[in-house]
Amino acid sequence: MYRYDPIDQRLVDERVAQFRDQTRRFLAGELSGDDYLPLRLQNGLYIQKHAPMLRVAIPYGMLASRQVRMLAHIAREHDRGYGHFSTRQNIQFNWPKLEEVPDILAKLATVQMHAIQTSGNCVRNVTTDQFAGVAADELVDPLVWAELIRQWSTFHPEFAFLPRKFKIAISGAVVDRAATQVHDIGIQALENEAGETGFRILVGGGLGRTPAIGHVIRPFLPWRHLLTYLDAILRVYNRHGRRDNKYKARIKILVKDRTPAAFAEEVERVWADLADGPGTVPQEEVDRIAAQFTRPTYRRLAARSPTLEAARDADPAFARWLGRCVSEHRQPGYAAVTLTLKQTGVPPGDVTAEQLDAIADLADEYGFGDLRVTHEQNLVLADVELDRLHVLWQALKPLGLATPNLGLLTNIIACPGGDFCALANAVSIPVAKAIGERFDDLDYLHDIGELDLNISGCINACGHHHVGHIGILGVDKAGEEWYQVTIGGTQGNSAAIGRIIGPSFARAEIPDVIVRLLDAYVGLRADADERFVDVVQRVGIAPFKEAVYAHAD
Amino acid sequence: MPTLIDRDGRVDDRWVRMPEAVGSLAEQSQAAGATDGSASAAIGQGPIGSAVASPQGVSGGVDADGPADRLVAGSDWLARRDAWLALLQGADGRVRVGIELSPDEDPAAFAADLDRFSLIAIRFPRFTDGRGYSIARELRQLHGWRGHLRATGDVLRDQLFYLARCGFDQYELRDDQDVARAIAAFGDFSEAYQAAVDRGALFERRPGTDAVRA
Repeated sequence: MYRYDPIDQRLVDERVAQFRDQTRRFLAGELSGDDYLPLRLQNGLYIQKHAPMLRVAIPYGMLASRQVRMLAHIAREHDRGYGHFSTRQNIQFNWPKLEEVPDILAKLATVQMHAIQTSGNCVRNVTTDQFAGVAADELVDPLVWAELIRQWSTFHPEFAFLPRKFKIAISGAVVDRAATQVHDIGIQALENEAGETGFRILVGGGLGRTPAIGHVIRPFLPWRHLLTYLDAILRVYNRHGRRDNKYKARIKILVKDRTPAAFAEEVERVWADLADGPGTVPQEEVDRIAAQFTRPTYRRLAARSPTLEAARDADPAFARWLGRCVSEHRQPGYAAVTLTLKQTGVPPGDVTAEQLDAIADLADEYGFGDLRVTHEQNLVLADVELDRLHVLWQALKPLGLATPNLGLLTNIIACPGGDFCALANAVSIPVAKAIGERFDDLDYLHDIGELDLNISGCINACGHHHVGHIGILGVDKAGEEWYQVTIGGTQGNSAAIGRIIGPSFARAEIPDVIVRLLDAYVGLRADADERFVDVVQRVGIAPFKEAVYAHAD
Repeated sequence: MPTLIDRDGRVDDRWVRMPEAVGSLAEQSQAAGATDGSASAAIGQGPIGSAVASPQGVSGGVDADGPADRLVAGSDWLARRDAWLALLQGADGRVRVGIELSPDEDPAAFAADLDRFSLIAIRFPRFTDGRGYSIARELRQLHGWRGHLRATGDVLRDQLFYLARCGFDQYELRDDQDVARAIAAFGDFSEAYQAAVDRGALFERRPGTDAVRA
């Protein structure tokens, strides 16, 4: 967890004061709605279908227990008793009163939280691997760099009014858990042969209307050049990104129009004047940020835990949960535990105030007081002793946080959809619910194996449907809600965009469509270990299309 | 009337925006022969938008007679560069020229002429069009502009802190903006993380590492 110094704190407090005055002016009629709009977006405040929605930043997904308790308080006092974790490691409150938002932000500031630049045409929350700092396959810990980027982006005076939103993700492990290939800038931290830390820089990835995989424009950027290089990319985008058409305004369009090679050249040209200039990162700053992070004081433990193994052998349900929700840790005797917020019948990513308070206690008891949010709308206790996993599991179950479906079909990623969002064409939460209810047989789910199912209520793709093994997209057909199905998308190291299988479906048909896709998969797979998405990549979509559409009428 | 300020208060503004040239240079030379002083038919296509036909018909600001401080559209400077240079030469210090850039213009196009200008303005047609911030930084940090740099157009107090950081030192506030509140807005934040024109990165100035805890 990064500890604020007095300057970090002061900046957040000053931002609250600034926004409080902007809100006062708006409510007093001194600031028009049009003028207030970009200002409130840069403080995370949307005016939504039913009520304002406030998106609170969780920088690179890290939370401390005291912050979780404050989120519980806000859910309770200023909202309808719950919050929603988004697909970019933020939390959203759907029902705050506009005039209370400055007070909410002031409360958040007391625990070093804010809603700075969580919306608007600016650099948004930098996201990372939920296992940053603990993953067994980690090459470079991305947390220090994520914090460095956070500071660089916060109130960056040149890039507050970009053509469109700007999203950066950073990963430091062999397996990319941060979806860097589908971000405006994706940063992959690595070491070169000389052992120097540097970054592979990708630009122009993204989901939404025109999904794209990012292009590598710099295979290895030495670490000290990170911020000046980001300045160069953003400057090219700020000056040349399209501003005439909101749907063609992301950097991916510019990269495509210029071609990646020409775009890279332009960045290098701009960067040539910035390199080694004032934004160059000194070693002292890297060391300072690293020192500002609290790290768990791990105990010296054995790599294996007989306690754990005995419990696992005795309890199949526990064994199942272990297999799905517990991940390897670089420190012997520890594991990273995913708390799934994917209970059937509950909107994916939603959490009640009571759950938040309980989670804060669990973080204190089992996790050195820290917690992470994943971009798949789950939570992680990153540093749990193996010996204590069984006890933790027993505590998680009554809270509804132990559904052993991580990586399985019912670990659905879904946007809030038409029930909440003014942009949506269709509802998404009821679709998730229907699928969850239809596939509530855990044995079947385990047999099907790894399956990412993502639902977006509209083309903006906040549910990341493009990179779902199965993706569902709400579309508006003649004023009614219909759903388009894609298959074969993947995030991670070889990201791919899913392909549409055919004409769209009515909502009631979707569970049956999924059944037919899965039946086809079971029939086509080489063995039980071949994943759904691998079969799609092997045989193409035609057999699946046929299975879905050729059913007897 | 927009109010011109700097961070300390109101500033007297003697700069006059010049109407843009009407038609092509060839048409202007032709019309120069006309005796009735009528404006020629074509309307200039200036980037600022409301091109005004010069009442004099032809010269549109390059006459020796006229305001002492003339603010010229960047595109007009480029289109009639020789005429503007001739004006400055002939006026022998009695006339000063400044340019006003629109957000799609390239500051590099004016770099060679910086020592001719006494003012550079950058226009924000809407405050959400952020291109002017990059143009300002390049003028200051890449091309070495040291004179006044003025933000014009849709300039509200909410942008002043960022504008100042990017190198602007004069601000033509939108009509409805309260001047006193605007001056105060330069102090919205007591520090800044990233390097810009006004100061280097915070990591060059940061003191010790006292943690803040709730």
